[in-house]
Amino acid sequence: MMQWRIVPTAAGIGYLLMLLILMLVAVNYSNNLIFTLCFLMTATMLLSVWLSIRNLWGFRATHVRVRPVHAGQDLAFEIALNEHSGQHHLYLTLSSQDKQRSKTTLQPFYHLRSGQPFEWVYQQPTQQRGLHNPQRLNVDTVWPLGLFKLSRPLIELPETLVYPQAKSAQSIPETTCGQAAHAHTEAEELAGLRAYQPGDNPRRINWRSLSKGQNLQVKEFDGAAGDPAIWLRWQDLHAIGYEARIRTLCHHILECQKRGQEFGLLLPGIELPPKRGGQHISTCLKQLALLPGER
Amino acid sequence: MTSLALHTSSHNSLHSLNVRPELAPVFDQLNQLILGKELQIKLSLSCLLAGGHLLLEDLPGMGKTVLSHSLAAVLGLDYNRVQFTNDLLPADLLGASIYQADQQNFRFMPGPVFTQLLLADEINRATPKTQSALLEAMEEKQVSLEGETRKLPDPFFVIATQNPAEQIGTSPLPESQLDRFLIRIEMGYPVKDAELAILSGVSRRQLLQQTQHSIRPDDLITYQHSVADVECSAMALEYLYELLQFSRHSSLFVNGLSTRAGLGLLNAAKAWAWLDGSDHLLPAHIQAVFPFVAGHRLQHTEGNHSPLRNGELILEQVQVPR
Amino acid sequence: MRQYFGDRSQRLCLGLWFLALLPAIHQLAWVHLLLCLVPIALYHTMRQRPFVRWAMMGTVLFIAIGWIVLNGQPWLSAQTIISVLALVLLLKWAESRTARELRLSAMASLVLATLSSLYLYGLLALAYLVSCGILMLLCLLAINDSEHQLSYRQLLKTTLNLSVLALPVTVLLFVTVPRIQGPLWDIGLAIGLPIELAIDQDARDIGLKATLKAGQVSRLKRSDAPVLVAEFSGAVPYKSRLYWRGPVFSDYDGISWTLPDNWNNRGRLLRHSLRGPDAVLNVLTSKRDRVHYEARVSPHSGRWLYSLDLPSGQTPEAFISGDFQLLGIRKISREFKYDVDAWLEYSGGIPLSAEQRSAYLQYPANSNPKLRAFGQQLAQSSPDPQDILHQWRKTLVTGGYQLTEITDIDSARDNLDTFFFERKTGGIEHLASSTALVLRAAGIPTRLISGYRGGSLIALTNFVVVKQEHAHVWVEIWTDEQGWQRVDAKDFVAPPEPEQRLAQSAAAVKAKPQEEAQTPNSSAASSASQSNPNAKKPADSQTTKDRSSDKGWLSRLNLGFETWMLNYNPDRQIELMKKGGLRHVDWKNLAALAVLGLILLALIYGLLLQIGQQKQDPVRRSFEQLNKQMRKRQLACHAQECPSQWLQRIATSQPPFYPALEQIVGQYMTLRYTTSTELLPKRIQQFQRDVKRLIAML
Repeated sequence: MMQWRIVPTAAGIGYLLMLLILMLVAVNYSNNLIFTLCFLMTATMLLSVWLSIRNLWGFRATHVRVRPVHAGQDLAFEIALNEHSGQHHLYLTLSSQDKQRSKTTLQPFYHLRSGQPFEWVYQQPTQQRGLHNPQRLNVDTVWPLGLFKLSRPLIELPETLVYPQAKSAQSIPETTCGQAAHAHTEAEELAGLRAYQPGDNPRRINWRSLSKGQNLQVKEFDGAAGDPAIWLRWQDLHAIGYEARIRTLCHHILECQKRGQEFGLLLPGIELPPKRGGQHISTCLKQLALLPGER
Repeated sequence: MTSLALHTSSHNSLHSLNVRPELAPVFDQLNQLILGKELQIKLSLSCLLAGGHLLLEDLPGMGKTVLSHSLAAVLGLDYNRVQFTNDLLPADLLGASIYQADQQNFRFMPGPVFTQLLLADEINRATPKTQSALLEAMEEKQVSLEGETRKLPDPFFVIATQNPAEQIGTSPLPESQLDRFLIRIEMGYPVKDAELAILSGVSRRQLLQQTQHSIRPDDLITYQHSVADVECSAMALEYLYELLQFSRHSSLFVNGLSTRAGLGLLNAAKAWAWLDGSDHLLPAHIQAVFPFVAGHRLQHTEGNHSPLRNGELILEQVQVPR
Repeated sequence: MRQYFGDRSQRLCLGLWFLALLPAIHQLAWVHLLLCLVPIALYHTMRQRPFVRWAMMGTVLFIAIGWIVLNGQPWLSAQTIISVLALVLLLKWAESRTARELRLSAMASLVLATLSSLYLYGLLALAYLVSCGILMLLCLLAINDSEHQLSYRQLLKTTLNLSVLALPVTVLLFVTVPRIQGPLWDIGLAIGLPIELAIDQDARDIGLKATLKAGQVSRLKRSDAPVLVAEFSGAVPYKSRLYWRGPVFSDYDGISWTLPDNWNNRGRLLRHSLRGPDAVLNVLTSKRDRVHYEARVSPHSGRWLYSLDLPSGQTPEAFISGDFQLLGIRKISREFKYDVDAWLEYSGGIPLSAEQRSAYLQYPANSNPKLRAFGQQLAQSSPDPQDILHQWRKTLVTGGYQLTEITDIDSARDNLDTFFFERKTGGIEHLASSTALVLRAAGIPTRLISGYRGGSLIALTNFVVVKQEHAHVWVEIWTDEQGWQRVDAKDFVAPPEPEQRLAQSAAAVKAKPQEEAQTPNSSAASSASQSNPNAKKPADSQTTKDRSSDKGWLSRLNLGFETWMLNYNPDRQIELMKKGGLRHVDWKNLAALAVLGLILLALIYGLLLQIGQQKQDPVRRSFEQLNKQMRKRQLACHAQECPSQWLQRIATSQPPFYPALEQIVGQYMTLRYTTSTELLPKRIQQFQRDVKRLIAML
């Protein structure tokens, strides 16, 4: 579990080269002062390893949390840290064994300055929908002299769900597809009372307030004209490719969420009846994300 | 790992359900009224002692009403019961000013909320508007109507009952409002002996009518002060903090526990400790109340987890600071 | 204005560069100094416009190199190397944008600083080098601190901390890392590089010749061109006992010693040679200390193989001549390899013919009359050659003679008289020639041997490199009883003064970057020693001060510094190690010692690191100890468990443990979960004691 790794950086190799040159100059002139300098530099190099170790030591990640994202977005792992050594930890970088991560991206530095809990965000780009495999997150440092890169495991990143990308040129089908989704409950919701006006439906008169000696009032209801629930169906999208269908359905789901519309999802072998709310949407997105790849 | 599983499964049975002598009569009386529900009773008492409000959640007919009624009866509190329906208006709950023709002025008619113990039955049947009116009163312990602020009596407890969210025709309390309830408990089916006793014995309602209160509301207020005096060491606070932190950082949950939840947890745990006869807070006390305080405030990312399980998941993972 | 030269790491690098150049700045030509101002002046323009950058860099380098070519400055001279390196580094600094480039620039600046430090001496040089090193570390740190997390002061503090912590390691490395004596060429020679490579084309023709004039040997001593490389089987004898035999002279005309005209005639040489495996041994009357070695001789114009005195044994393509020289059958026009035995102490030879005897007694007419008179006087006092020799040595010891290494000595007819009776200082040739003449005047047959004495031992190996600088001349005398025996007057007179050595070393420092010293055109070397009087003077005044007041702490510090730092060499290292109890000192042992020491220090540092971290709570430590014991019985308190629950668990599952545990866990819970601070230390102690007692009982 605790695997520390130490690799000389390019600067470290340059430094070794410099030491070699100093050594050669010292030998050539049999100059003890240059020997001294050479050994002093060697000693600082060795000591910088200890300082690096101390820089990586004394804190641990306690938790990591991550929210699902859509493919193409960055996964943001929020890592909670607990510093217990009372040291400052400067210039730490995070890395994971993800081959997709391009090397050119400039890695941010993290600093840990006190004995307080701390939170870091580690971002990782995603490209494919589905389960993002768990990986180990390493914390690295080249501090103080930049001659060696030390790394140690910080925490295991959890398996994460990546939703499909939401992309579509098509608008949501406005059909209820013959199957009636059940009506909005909102139609029954009481919004308030207002003064009676001639012509109001007598069934909506609030007799109770009249009995308390108040004026004639009528009940008002909200959402009487709620949209009917719709079905998002896999087979409706036969004209486009496999992954494109997934992206389209994902787009439609998000669109429904934006409009606050109730919807159901019909996928091959899976039927999710119409509902609303965050839980429903995440279930639908999860089903889409986990659809097997095209054969 | 096996021992850990053993530890969690025996979680409830390991807590002693004895109470300190001052409250023993109350506890005994309640246990006679509600059979086989010692844990629920102790939790409800803790909730009242901590000054919080209680959410009872279960299917109809599981003794929710009996529990609240018994509490009121045994503790000698004024008791009002409001059956929440979808046409219940805020004014029906809080009260309204009525024009008195003879005196040519408006008089405020207090609603049922002006009582010491309010049973809000089937709160999820009411419209969100009414719900939030009640929740506001719970939080502020006062009612603002027509520009006038009226204090609610002290002590003031709300026991709300709720049918499980799956039931048709309900508006489940939104997460933000669940936070107002300190403790949420489920009644659950009684064990066999208890159920047989209920079936064969006298009606609970009759028993209730015969019940004499064993303490007075003033005593309750004194006890509440004693609860606040329970010692809480830095280590105990640290553990409590770790629990909160875990809920915030774990990806098991959509949202972490709020600071209000933390405060509630501390108060509830103190009340439990006090009930247990301890003058200082132990991690065990926090653990005892934690699933009931935290469960309903957490939403598992996978969904479909019982609130109680949410709390236990955290307890299983957070280490007690040594 | 503060931000003029980029950010602070850029500025620090410029500072380092300037410091690195500072001691050598007077060596730089004014053109180069002016050129250095260009990148500094044009810093901003060149960073903004790539065209300006390239144009400027090209122009600066072109002018700098052009100037060197026009002035005929030697390419490998220290001056050229330093000025070009400094200019290139400055240009690199000015155009560097990334951290990597800056790091490179900082590290290369340190190399420049070491070269510059050769112009300084003693403590000053040490202080200079150390401050350069620290500044370089500061640069690296500042470059790494790209987000300015540390202020200048914190940076400096970190660097100084690092340096101070590094001191023990530095001392360890200084003492134990196997020392190799330079120059690098010697090491190459030991490894087996051809000797020719180490010799300049111009220097090829120097070396001992068929004639020997005053000043010739001293001039040879200016050169470090290798003559031969010998690998001894077994330990290397003391260097002073190594006499490498070259031309043997008997004819002296008052100015120069010459070989007979037909000296190079192979037929004649072979006729007189000592052939056969025991030919040499048969003519020796005494012999001691046999060594065996293998030698490679650099090519030269003669036949001499410069074998170690006295050669015996046989080796292909070579023979031993009548006067004990190992000669090549052919001229040594390419590197020659041989292995023979040698007797370090010897006497003997083929009995002299009358003709030979008169040749070895020949005294040049009309020259050096005083010496002749002196010799005759010696002969009158005692007829015994050993007595005469003894008298002669006494004269040398008491006469206050002083060897010098001055090359330009007039070669007048009576110059040996002048040397011996008036000046009393002169080269080794004067001394040896005077000895020969005095002894001849005293009636002892004498010959002059030219060759080399000593050599540089390559540390921790059995290799000895003999160079022109080891050139030497000594005398052999003939007695009828013992035959030839060696008389070296050098051991009885004072060696060259330290000041001279200093001057010489300062000159050598300057000559060495030129890779090969140009001895024939010694004008370069002498001009260098003239141009650098200020490097020598402060050191001189320091040494004289040392002698005048031995008590001041500064002088004592200086003395310690000189003996333990400046003059710490392979010999001293071996001596120290032997004192420290290391029986056998070779590079493997030393390296092992260094590694062991490093590991030890690393452990110490690691421990310090740990101690700095772990100030664990005593209550917690005791609790964990208890828990460890309970874990062995499968009764541990789980990490997620409250101690009270643990107690309950034990009460139900293992009742015998309960009473003891209840008391201790109760104490623990009181300590942990109540807020009372009354008698807290006492309670903690009590708890620790009880835990210990319980563990003992378990």
